[in-house]
Amino acid sequence: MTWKGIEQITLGSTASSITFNTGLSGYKFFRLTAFIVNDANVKAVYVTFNGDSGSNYSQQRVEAASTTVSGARSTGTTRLSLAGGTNLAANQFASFIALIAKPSASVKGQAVLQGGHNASPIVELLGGEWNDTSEVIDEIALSPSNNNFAAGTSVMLEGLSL
Amino acid sequence: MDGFVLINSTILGSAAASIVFNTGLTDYTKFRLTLYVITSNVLAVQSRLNGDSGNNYVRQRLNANGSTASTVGAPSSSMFTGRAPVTINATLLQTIEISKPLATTPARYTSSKAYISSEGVEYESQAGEWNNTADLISSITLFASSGNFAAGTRVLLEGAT
Repeated sequence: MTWKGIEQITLGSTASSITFNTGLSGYKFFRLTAFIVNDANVKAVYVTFNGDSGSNYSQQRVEAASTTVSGARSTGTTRLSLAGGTNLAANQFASFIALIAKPSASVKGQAVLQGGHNASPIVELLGGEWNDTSEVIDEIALSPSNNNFAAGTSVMLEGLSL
Repeated sequence: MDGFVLINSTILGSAAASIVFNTGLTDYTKFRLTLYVITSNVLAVQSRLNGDSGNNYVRQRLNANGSTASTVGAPSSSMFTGRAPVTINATLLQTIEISKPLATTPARYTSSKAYISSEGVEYESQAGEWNNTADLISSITLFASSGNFAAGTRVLLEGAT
């Protein structure tokens, strides 16, 4: 077994979200490779699983900006949040790679992300948890905190059935 | 061009103190490990290359725990190691990348890790080097700093030429 490509979505026009909900069945690990283009001011990129918008996410974030390194933990949030804290203007870029694991329905989902954006620029590292113990992952959705992803945004999803 | 291919994978059926990959590794110069570790005791995931337990490893670690981001450097160590969580029954998700293009070049190591401690989700990133300039990588050993990896622990090893 090895990593398999599930789907790649590249936007030809603006969209308020990018959702992967086909072909995820049977995979226990996922890898997202994302190149994000913003159409207007955007504060953060959100990631949710299985359409869960409840207060079921926790994360530990590390940000390096210039000579400053800072950490922040969030618990009971409604999504994992990347590139938060800084407004990205129109046509600025963010990118990240995410490893996501949920080997069975009865264990919580876990994620490791690393990325950054070119407003400043910053490096961002994140460990996350989805506090669900009843489902395997069958949907992964990305959305901007406000406004839209612009044309040219491209996200690839791979899966591993280990 | 070939990308990363599967070398081996394992899912522990019972607890084990270590996981060793030592077959066919010298065909590759780049390695990628995906680890999902379940533990019933406090441990850090440690690793050695080619069984080398000498002080031939250099590492720099960045940890984030709440609002605290801290760094730890080890210019001479006998292994790659991370911070142990402070609670039991933790799960850990980690990626490790190792490159050693030639026997005569040292190996470079990077990893990213998220784990659950009694304080919540923590994050750790690490970079390091194995100061061996005589051998290709022939084995990768993952071991628990104490106790065992629990049943259900999963590791995937991929390689690229």
